[in-house]
Amino acid sequence: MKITRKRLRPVVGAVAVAAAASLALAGCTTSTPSSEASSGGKTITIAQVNEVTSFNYNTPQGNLDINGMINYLTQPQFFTLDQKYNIVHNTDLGTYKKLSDDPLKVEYTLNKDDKWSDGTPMTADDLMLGWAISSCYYDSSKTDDDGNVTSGTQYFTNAGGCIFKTDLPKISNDNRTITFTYKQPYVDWELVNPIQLPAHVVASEIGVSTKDLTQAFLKTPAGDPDNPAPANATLNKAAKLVNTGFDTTSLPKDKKLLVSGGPLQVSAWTPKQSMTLVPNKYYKGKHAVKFGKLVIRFIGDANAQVTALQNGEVDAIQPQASADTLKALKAASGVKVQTGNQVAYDHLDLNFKSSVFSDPKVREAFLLTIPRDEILKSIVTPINPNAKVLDSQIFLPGQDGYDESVKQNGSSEFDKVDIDKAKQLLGGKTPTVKILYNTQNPNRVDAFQAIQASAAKAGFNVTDGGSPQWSSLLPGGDYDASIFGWVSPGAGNTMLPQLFQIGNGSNYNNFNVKEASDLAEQSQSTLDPKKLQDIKFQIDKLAFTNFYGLPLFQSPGLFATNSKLKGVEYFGGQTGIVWNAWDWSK
Amino acid sequence: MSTIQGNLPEPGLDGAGMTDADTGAKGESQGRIILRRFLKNKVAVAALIVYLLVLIFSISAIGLGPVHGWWPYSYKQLNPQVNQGAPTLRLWPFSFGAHPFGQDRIGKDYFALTMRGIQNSVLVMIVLGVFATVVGVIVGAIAGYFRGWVDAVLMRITDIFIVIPALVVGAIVGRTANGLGAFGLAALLALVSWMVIARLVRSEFLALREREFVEAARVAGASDARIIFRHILPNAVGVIIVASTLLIASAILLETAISYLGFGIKAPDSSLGLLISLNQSAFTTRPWLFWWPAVFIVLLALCVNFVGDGLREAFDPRQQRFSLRRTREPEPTEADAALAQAGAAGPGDGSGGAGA
Amino acid sequence: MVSYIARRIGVSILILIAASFIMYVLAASSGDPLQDLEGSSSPNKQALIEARVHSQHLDLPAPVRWLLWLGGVARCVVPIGGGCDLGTTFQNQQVVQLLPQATAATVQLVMVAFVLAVVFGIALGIVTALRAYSGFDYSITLVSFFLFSLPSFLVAVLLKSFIALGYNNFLADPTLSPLALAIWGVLVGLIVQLIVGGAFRKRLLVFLITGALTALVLWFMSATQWFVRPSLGPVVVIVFCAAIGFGFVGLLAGLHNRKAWITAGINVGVAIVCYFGLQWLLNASTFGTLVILAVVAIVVGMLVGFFVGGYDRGLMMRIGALTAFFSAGVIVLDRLMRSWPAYMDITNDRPLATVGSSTPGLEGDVWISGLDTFTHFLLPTLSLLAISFASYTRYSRSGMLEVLGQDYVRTARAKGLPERTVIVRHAFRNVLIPITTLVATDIGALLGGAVITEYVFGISGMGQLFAAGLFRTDVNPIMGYFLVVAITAIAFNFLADLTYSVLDPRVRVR
Repeated sequence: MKITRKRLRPVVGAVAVAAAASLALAGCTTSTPSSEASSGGKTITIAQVNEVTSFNYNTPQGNLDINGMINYLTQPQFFTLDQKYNIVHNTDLGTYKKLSDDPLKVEYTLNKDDKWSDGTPMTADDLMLGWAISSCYYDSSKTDDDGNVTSGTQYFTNAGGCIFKTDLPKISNDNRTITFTYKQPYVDWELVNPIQLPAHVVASEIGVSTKDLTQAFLKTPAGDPDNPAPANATLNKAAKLVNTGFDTTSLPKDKKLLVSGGPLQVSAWTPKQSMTLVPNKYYKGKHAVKFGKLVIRFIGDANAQVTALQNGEVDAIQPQASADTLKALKAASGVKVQTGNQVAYDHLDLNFKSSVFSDPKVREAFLLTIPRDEILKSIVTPINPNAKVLDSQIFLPGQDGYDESVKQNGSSEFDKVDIDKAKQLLGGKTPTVKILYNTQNPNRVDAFQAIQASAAKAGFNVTDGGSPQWSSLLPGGDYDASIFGWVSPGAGNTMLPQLFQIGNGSNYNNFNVKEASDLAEQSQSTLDPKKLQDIKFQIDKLAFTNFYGLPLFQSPGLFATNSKLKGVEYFGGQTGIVWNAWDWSK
Repeated sequence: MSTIQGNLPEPGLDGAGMTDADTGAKGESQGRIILRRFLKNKVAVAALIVYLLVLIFSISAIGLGPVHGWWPYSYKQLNPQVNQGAPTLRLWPFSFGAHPFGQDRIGKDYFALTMRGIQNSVLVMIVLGVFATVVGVIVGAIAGYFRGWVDAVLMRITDIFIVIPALVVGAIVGRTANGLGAFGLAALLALVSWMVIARLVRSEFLALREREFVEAARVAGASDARIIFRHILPNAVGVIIVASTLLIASAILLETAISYLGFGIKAPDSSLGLLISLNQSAFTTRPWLFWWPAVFIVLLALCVNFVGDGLREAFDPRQQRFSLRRTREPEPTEADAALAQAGAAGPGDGSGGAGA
Repeated sequence: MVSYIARRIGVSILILIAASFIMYVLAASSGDPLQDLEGSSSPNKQALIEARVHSQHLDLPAPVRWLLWLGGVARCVVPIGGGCDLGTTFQNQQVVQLLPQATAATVQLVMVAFVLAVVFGIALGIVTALRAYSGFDYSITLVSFFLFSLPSFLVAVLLKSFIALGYNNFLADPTLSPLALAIWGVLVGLIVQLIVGGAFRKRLLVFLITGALTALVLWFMSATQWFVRPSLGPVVVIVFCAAIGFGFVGLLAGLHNRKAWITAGINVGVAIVCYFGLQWLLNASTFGTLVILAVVAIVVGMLVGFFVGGYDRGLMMRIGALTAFFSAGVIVLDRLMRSWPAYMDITNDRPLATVGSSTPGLEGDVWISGLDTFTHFLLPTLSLLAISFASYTRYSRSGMLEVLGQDYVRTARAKGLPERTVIVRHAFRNVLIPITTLVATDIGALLGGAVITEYVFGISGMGQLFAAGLFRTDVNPIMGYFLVVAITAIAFNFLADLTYSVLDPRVRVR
């Protein structure tokens, strides 16, 4: 084979390619081929349904359970809730105490060596920012029905709304203490956590010094909707950053947004997959964690979470509680299961505006047919064999006051289905009752069917008003009764006026007992715990004696963990499984 | 795109020429020939019988509408738990027991639920199949027959529907149509499933409208409607039947997928996909809740697929012809000669040696 | 041609706009976007509702919102004011940012499954067509109809429960019982005898031999703890490489072709030398290295083919490249397997994953992360494969049957061409024409069609984006999903039509 020039060309090419390739190879190889273990400490992996969407939990759009968990682990908290929803002050961060009842004055003091995760000390500037975000002090806006601002300025939008009003706080000279003076007594003052985001980060993001930011807060007058002042530029910028600047879909390039003041800090985020948190080395206190890394995997399908736990891919899950999930988890080897109750409960409410139920006798008769025990047995007992029918409209079992209230509120009348008495009360009438419920929630569907069957025995004709769009039908009142669930925060008393005050937006069933309504309103400014408890007892009783409706059951909850993971305890509150992450070890 | 459909029998003279040596006899109509071919396909016939048996079984068991079936429980009624909800079905000695398929969480009879699921799934299949076929045939026929701007407009509309993925619209429609039950769901799903048929029918019409018998009808003064429905449509019926069978097979899977995602039929009504979705977490603990509906989904889909395949082969004997062993025989059979003739007339000839 | 393309693009845009309108209105009216808030007990519920109404313009009717949305989309194409804006989710996340993440996850999920489905589907379809109406054909038909009839979530759930959990449990004590050996032997034997076909005695012989061989190999693997410490070892690597060379020669050139033998032989030889000589390089490899090595392997294979040459130089280069590439693949596979014990350590001896697309926070070299990707995508890929593969089998089977009945195939046979040439060169290429169209059309559907697989395997791709949006009636992410899926579908349909006109000269674009 004679090599001609034409034939040579590919050879030259090949040599060139080979040379280029070997060069590229040299650049593409790695010098440390073996994998090495990362920094000390074990990795704990948990699963969550939703993905993180924001590092600021406290905005309307960021108010998701998972964002709340991240917030709980990475932001300073003046208090936490214990297993029975009691408020526990977190003295590692600082102290807060009531100075006087009238006017209500509360003083917050940070400890001396509190630091953010970038080493900056925590100061009253941070408290001032936290107060500014949650107090709505500066807002001078008026809005139309669609939420468009028509005049004035709205600064911080926060998820909790403006539920308390204070004067401009006072900062102490050592810049560690802040004092709030409330305009009216506020029943849940102990649940106000005035430290949310690091002020130095917010300040540097908007290009001012921390001092300037605090000065802006101190100098800007209180908002007056009728006579709005021109917007303060610094405040506006700060508000814009706080409102949307922490929303993100991946790990922000600007690491300042990740500055943490809690036991953990976010270190990595693979979008759609997982988020990694590592200990905050500046955090000193009881809540310091005992592991090296916490990985939160985002797994949308609850059944997939169960398999992942069985397969050892995650260490702890908080799946939707169902008897089958429970049984499958119990059968799996190396899995520990804990059941309990959530701070949520399902209830049947009677619509006081409906013509059928305008007669208290019909209300009573209908409530007497509700097979609460049967509903409990089919829905909750398989998960939590110790579960009992819920007997209070206000307290949850385990909360201080539940047992006492049950004894006096008259719920015992509805302990058993009493068809005969119901018939007697009806006196031969056969009212038609339309029940609204969520057809997409199997528990509600089952409860509806059970009620339908039982009420029919007394002569009620129960019709199906169920809809997947139940929630938008709820305020309309085109139904006689409704079955749905409330989620309570566990602690606090904001629920009282919502449920029992006449004309309140959440009083869907138009409960119109003046006495209860007044008591509910009064409760919001009652600071004496004993008096408050007494008000609650009275409302609870009024709800039963006026046939408000019936609470059905407390929603069951379920935690399952790898048996290697120690320290996980059941908690029904909204922070979910991570509520005691600092006690975990592996 | 129209030329892909080259694998269909040509009507008229060629059709007669194609009569298979072992199925065709002179003087039989094409319909009878196809029926005979289909009946020869034992698997397809068996599948059809199984399908019908399942349907009859489900209807007779729990009845239909106000009529009650022979099964004592309804799919809505709550019953006390028997045998802790486990199936009471016994094969030997055979007995149904109280709840042959077991009971669900709140004691509903799973047999009745499954039967109702079958009814709904079959209803969705049939309604979707019929509606989509009718719409598809009308759109395709008008587009293919009139051509020009009518064709352009209709085909662009078809394209609009095609770019929206079926599952997507299905899910949205399913959620919107929630109150309408299985029938409404199927009817609305049909509105987004007719495009394949429309395209097929159009390309079939484009080819057929140039044929001599259409020309003859036109010269004889037949109206457009008459030409479309009396002359062209009967010749395109093979394509339509085969395509709609395939559509029906995919309909049951679409319905189950939508119900599985929670967008389809809702409790207290029942569908096979919904049953699986609701009881997925019971897979390891109460497997029967998972397996009964699963078995019937697969069974129904399998049957329709086999029937569809049987129909396709009955309408399209050319594929059946080839067999390696046979072509190696030294002399071509009579049928092969006929095939060669048919092939020459069809569009599938010409530049076949592309790879040679 | 240019005017055709321009016209087609114009029409496509119009179709897209019209379809997006339908989609938007449907999605917006599919539920109540305020449902989660209306049912909540938050004290400032009204403010929350107002905030959402305000940010999502829910006070405007859906068609008007669609116009606003369309305006944002238009800015993606025409750079005026503000740049691309596909809206935000209820959580104020930019859809523009979410889409690339979701698309990447979905592409990663469907790509391998798609390629494997096409390759295996077509191959199996053709083999069944060649063995039409044999026992093998009937069994494959049955199996493919069966797979065809399986709902995808069923496959996914079964795979998770049986393969992932089952195999991981098996790895705790990786020894096969005699019964298991026997079952596998019988199973493999049955399948192989079906493929081989022929007279009863031949089949029986094939059954016995393959069955016994399978059981023996499995016993050997079980006894040597192969499942925990897998590797191919030099002998198997050499055998595999040789088999690859043999296969390509037999398939592409015919066993009588001496030049082909030489080409394949040289390449297999080079591969074996590399196997012994390049392990150090593989140990220090990154992903980039492997890509370069793959390119080098192909180039070397083609060069060898070029120099061996002969009258059919192109064919030799193809044989060379394919042999070199797949032999290199065997070597890489062997290296990958040897990282298995290390990977088992990382995953606490439960390597097969059921959820997600990677182990969070995994640190390791390319082999470890390669194995990690493999264990995470094995099951979702299998479940997608099982379903789509069946339809390709059916299509290519019927396509092949039809082509085999054509005149030109008859002519080719009549010329006395060997059966291999008739099938590979004449029939096979014509089968591919309609399938090309099918494949192109499927790519569009594939991106949107993995909703359920994504859901069950916890892979947050396009399907998750869509389903989550639909659950909350959050229209913007739904529309983002729609844009990607619809544009892909339109683009690939267009591509399919163009390809078709190129492949099949009878079709002309107008």
